[in-house]
Amino acid sequence: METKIAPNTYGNLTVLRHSGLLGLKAGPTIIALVLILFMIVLIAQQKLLAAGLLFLIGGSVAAVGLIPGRQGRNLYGRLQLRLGQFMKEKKKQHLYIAGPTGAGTPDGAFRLPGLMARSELTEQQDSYGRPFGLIRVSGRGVHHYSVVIESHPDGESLVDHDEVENRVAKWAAWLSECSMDDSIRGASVTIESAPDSGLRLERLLDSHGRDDAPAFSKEVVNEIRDNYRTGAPELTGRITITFDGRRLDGKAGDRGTVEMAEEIGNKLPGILAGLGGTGAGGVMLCTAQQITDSTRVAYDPTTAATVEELQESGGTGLVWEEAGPSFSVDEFDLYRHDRAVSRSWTMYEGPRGMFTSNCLRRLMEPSTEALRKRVTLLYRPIPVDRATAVVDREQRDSTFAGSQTRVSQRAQIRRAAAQKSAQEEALGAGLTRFGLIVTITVRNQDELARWDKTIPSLVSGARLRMRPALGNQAVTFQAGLPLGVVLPDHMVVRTGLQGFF
Amino acid sequence: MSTTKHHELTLTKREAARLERAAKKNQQARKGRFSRWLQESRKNREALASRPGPRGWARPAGGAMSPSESLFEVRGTTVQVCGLYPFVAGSGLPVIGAPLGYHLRRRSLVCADPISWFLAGIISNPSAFILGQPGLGKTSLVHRFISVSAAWGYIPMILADSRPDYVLMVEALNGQVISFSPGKGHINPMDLGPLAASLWEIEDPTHREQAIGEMIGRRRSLITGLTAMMLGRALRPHESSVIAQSLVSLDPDLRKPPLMHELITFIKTRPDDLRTVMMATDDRDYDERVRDLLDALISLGPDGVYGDMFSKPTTAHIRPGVPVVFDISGVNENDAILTAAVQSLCWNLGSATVSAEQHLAVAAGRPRRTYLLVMDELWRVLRASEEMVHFIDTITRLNRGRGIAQVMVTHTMNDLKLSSAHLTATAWGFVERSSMVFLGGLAKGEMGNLREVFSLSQEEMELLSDWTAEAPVDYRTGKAGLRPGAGNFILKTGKQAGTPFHTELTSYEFFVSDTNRDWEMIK
Repeated sequence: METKIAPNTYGNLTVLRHSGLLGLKAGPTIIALVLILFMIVLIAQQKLLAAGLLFLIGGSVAAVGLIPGRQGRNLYGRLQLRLGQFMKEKKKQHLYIAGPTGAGTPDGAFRLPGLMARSELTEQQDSYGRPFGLIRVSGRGVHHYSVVIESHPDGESLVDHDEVENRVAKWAAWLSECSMDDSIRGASVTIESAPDSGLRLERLLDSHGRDDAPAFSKEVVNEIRDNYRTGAPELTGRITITFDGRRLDGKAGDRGTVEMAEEIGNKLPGILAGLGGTGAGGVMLCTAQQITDSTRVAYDPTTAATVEELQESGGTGLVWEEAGPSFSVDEFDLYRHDRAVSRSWTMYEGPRGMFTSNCLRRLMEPSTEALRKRVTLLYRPIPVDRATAVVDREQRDSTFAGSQTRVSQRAQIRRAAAQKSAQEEALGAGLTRFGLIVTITVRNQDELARWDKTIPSLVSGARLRMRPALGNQAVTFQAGLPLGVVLPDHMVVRTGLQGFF
Repeated sequence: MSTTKHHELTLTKREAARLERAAKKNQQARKGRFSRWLQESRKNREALASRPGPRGWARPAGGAMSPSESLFEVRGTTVQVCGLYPFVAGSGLPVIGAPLGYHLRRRSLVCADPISWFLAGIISNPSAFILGQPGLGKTSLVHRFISVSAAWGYIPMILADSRPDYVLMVEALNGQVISFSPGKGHINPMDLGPLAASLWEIEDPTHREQAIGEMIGRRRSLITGLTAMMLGRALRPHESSVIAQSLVSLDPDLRKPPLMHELITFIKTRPDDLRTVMMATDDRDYDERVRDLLDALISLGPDGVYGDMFSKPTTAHIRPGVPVVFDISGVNENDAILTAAVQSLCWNLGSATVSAEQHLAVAAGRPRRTYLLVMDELWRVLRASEEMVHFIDTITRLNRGRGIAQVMVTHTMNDLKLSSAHLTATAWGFVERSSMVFLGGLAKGEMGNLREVFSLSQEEMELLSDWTAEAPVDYRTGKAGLRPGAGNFILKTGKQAGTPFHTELTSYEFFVSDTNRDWEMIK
């Protein structure tokens, strides 16, 4: 017997931040400095009372902010979310009533709500003549074009460890390819599991069955039909890639579907070929119809069986303007849409320490308890021309942070990680940002309770921590769909500022 | 001066009017810009009413969204982020083929059979190989293939059932059971059945010649194989030629199959065409050279050890289009040569019938029937005589061209280890050429052999050897339960990782499955 190979470990992921003084982040440090300056001025003017008051107020505001709240949100964060939800509900924006009533949507269509309301879906052909659906989301400085690739992962059961590592290495290569292409705004992998409808088996047995078959085999087939139809989960992978459609000459505006479709169509064969050997299994481009159908099913999973049935007999004929929900409510901690209820969780603390390539297995494995379980890994590649600057800054930043505290193991580790990243970047690895969304869709709200317990434990292997996306359920739900929503690009406050706070 | 002034004034008056007009115009223009802006914003608002904004319909119940909490992100190099690897869980398998059972890890349905997968293009040839220790459910798996195939219009043929495991099943399918053993029926090895003879009805001469040629070839290799088995060695070239020539002389066109004693007499009478073939100088030389051959043929003939088994006209011919099983359970298992001879006969008859049927179907322009040939207990044949290796090799190759599916079953790869490296290579070729291999519980020592034929991961090997564990004993009843690996298989196609599944029989199959009766005995 051969010796077992020790699993490769991964880690070394950093949170985007700018370090300030005394272990604070850069933003509070600046504010504190300004306050102290004020205080010095006040003291100089002999206004000691005012200075004391300022010290008290500033100090208590800072102290409240420093109290670590639940799930990584301090009091201010929670207040902001509550307030946001209150405003949303006051303006009745948490509701979405689509369709002929005209209450929410004047045109009577069942569009996707929110950020995807303006999206357009067209069918294009890549340079090999294969059709693919192209989703265009354009408006307010964001011009995104997304394609969806369906994959049927092989899974790692019964695969030897070195083969798994091989696949992971190829996956790394694919990710760095993405960061080489500076027109790629984001990429995501969505692993969706759902209970099997049993229709495929039914259809298989019906289409092959013959009337003149012996009675015995008919009985056997009937018993197979009765016994095997339930409980077998289905799992599909969908990879989306979002391209930037901004004009190349730096002016505001969009390059347009025709130009983008041609450019993307030329790139797709290479992107698909790069997925070979990554363990993604058989990959194929999703047509516009497939994207529409799967989106419809995501917003109303109870239609899954009907959609599947229609797909087999000539297609559903659904159009993009009918893919959205007819009714949805964006509540504080859950999202009701059509005949289902969903809750989305997001990562709020990155992997601490090292993890192995099978760390997400428990999360990814199909479960029969939920109508749908979607795990979405979001990547935002950092363009290669900026990567060097980013790793250099992190190195400087970590050194600065290390110099502020006397003996900090964490700061040392951070510095080592920054150095390692710089080395890896120099050796040709790409740099990417990573986010994680998990969405569970069930029939009624009571079923969500069990998932509140299980979701955080499912990711413990990766040393990640997940929390419900409070006050943002609808938008997180949408970002978790394989439609290529690059959430940070839609933020009101751009992400560049986030690292400061 | 004043006049000029006045003049100037009048001028200015006109000018003033012009200026006034210009100012008015200017004012109008300014007003226009404003109203244009007003108009535009009104238009915008109208547009917004008919078209959603970038965050959705900005109105009550319009579902506008603006993310208020930023998505938490971490940053890392791609060689580290890839460790959060998304493709750890596998997706379901294609629902194509006979439903066999559940995936052991994922609980999803596993469907597979050589015919459907070949038709769907998943595998390159319709051939399956089943390997596994006895009592772990190989036959049950084949039963599933058979019962589903029959329902889907494929015709199962069990060529040589020595237990008999399949007689009840074929009877349940209203099929044909042909008993063939001493005192229970006879088969003339030179008779390929009425179907082969009817190949003459094919109108296209090239096709007809090709079909008949194939049948003549099959018959020749069958007799040569049988004789070699009797002799215990390969035939010498002149001996093969004698048989070939005799068959051509006695029955050139498959219309009047000769009997064994006719063949013996023919060779004994030293006809001229045989003399030329052998280049015998005189009668003594002739006799000398055919002596061994005649010995072998006589032992097969009416005066030989097997009596009239091979020397009388065939009692029952295969009816094309219905499931058939050759029940050879009456053959003494210890008589290795007889077992091998009988098996080779059954297999050849079966595949010849199928092949002839295919030729006729093509000629008549009707769709070909699809057959599923089951070759259980392969080890018996291979152990009986090494000649059988080439024989089976021929059959499997011929069938491949016809699109006839076959399922071969044996216990271990060691069954395929034969006396010479060349033969072993040929026998292992059966497994190599089978695009679909089902592995049941196997001993640890077996793994090296398997690895030589196809890639097998460490995980797969461990699983396979786990399945051979002994059945746990219930201490209250003192009886052993089912073995842990009973009904478990790994389906391998090509180099991909295998699919482990557990097969469960339906109550109907349970009833006719002989293997389950064995399991009952274990219980």
